[in-house]
Amino acid sequence: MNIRIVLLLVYTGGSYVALSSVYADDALSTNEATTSTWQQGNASAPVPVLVQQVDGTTKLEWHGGATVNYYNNSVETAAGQFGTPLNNGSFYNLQGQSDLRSIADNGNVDYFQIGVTRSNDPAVLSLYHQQINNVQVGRSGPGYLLAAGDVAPNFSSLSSALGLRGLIAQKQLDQTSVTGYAGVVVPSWEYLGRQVPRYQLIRDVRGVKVEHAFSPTFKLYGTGQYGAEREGTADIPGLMPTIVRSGSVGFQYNAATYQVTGETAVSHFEQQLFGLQEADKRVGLASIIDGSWRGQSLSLRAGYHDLGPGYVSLSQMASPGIREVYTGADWVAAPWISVGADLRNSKNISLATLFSPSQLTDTNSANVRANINFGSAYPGWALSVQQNISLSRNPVDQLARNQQTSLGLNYANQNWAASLSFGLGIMRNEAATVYDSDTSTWQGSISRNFNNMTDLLPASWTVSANLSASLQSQDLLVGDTAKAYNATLGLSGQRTGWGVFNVSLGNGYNTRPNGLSTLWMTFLQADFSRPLTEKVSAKIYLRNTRRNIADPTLAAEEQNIGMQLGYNF
Amino acid sequence: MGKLWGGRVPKFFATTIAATMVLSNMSVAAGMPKQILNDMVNYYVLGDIPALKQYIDVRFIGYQSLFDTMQIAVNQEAQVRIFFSNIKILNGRSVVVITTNWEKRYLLKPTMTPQLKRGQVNLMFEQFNNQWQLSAISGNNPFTH
Repeated sequence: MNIRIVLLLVYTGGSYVALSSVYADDALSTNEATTSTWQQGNASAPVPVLVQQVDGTTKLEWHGGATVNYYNNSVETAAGQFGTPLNNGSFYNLQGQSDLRSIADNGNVDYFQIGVTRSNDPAVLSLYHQQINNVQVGRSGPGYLLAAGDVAPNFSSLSSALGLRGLIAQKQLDQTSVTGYAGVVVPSWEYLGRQVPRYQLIRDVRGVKVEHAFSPTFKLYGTGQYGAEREGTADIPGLMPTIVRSGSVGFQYNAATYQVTGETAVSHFEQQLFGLQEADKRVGLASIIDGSWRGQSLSLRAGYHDLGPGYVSLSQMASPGIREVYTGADWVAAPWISVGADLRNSKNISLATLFSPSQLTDTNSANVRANINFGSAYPGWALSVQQNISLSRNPVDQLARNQQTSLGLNYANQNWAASLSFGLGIMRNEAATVYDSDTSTWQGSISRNFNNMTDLLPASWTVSANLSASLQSQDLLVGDTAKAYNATLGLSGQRTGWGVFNVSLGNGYNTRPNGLSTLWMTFLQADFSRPLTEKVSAKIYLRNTRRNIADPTLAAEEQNIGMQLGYNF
Repeated sequence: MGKLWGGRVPKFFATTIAATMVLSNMSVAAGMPKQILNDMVNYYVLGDIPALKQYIDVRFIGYQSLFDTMQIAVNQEAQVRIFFSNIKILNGRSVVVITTNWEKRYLLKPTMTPQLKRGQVNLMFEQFNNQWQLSAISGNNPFTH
């Protein structure tokens, strides 16, 4: 039913006006506050537009749109699917999206968002010919939030931070807030509807967080979560379901100049292993603390993370088996120079199994950097220097060194921009010496803008030209040198009322060892877009790429011609 | 070298196709996270791993391990192309989760043997101090070898 509503809106092409379109004189400020509240809960979504009417009332507009893309691919490749992700033939790609909201006089915001894609191109939708990109319906108001559909609870780093299909609700009770969620973790709605193959088990999840603010700066919270996979819900036989329980307590201290956050957690993991009577059960522990301080010219930060190899939770951020400590600083030493440094020690600890003991890789790393500007005597000029070094020792005491040094010079003014940089990378790894190498990279670019802007009038047309080039030389210590070069010339422009054009031309090469021929590439891309009406725009485009020209096993040519119509309301 | 370019990815030949494909298949709902993912792909294709640090906060659990893994990968790959399909976006409070299938094609050095890897990844982007940053990668990471 919801999808039908969206299609109707697209079809009729009308601008959908908010249900509550007339407000009292103070409605604008009310709506702004409510919109702000809504935006906090939906930070990535488009922001509703408040329009102040002549009579002083406020109306909230609806937003949505549809894009139709029709194109033809002509592909030739000697390496089959290794050479290109594209398919020969003509394809369409239809995308629609809608964002409906209404604001009640009491400040409640009801909203419904949906985005759908339909395409016959397997390169766009490889599993099924249509897809719900996102769907969410909900209500938010003073002190509460309720949403259903695609939701992403984000309690903390060690507890719940994941995307799921289900419900989330939050209620503010004086200085205490309670948040709960429940749903399933699946890759898509189509996966849930069995329209695409299932290669993993469906996981039921739920969690709760209680947070109390003891002062405007100090908050304490506790979380609990549970996740259990459903047996037999995947098309792959033999997958054994897992059960995860975890709980955590944590705090946040946010003062004007510094902040500290910390959390400690315990988890219980259980999985019945195939052919074994005893289930795999393990308890995991994790603790983290991070802090930062910001002064006028100096900022400091430090932290410690210790996640045991057996720790499992419903947070995507909580990678198990990591113990790391870091510290860093940034200092604006003078108006013309700022410097910074970060130091870190990381230990990666693998989980002991029936077949191997726990193993540890120890890494020390550092990053130092400086940014220099040359002041008013040389306006627009800047110099940057950066060095990264990482030294790792693996469980069998083999050493790896990863060192990256870069130096760059930039210049920019109103119409010109240019940059030149040099990078040197040194890679050494006693466990894989075949890739030990020294790599030098030069990059440069220059661009120029032209327009008819005057002191009195803004520009009605602009044209910009850009030339970029890069040359990389990788000297492998086994004796080979691999070189890569590429360059691009771009031209773009726009004229008010006419449209926008872009043209890019490129070429490049990769050398190969043992006397094999060099691999050459060329590239052309052009597009032109033009507004047809206030709400309708059109675009035509052409792309042609030739890779590894004339090579009997690697040659690939892709040509893509298409047109796109867009409608926004 | 990312800071050297003022946070903008230079438009080189190698990056153009990757950028086009990411942008053309993404919903506009993802906003800045979409742009960050696009820039991350382009820097990875360029082999400029230090530039990726601007998108990842130092509090990221496993920070150094992630960058070392990426640096090792780009040291062994040429002509990298990462292609996303079946892109889904989940919005939360100051958080966006992008779930997508990916295909990665490259030539493996030094013999330049063509390689094709496929996977599915969940990328979580979080807003810190009005700035979107990558806070988690789970599933199959396309930025590794």
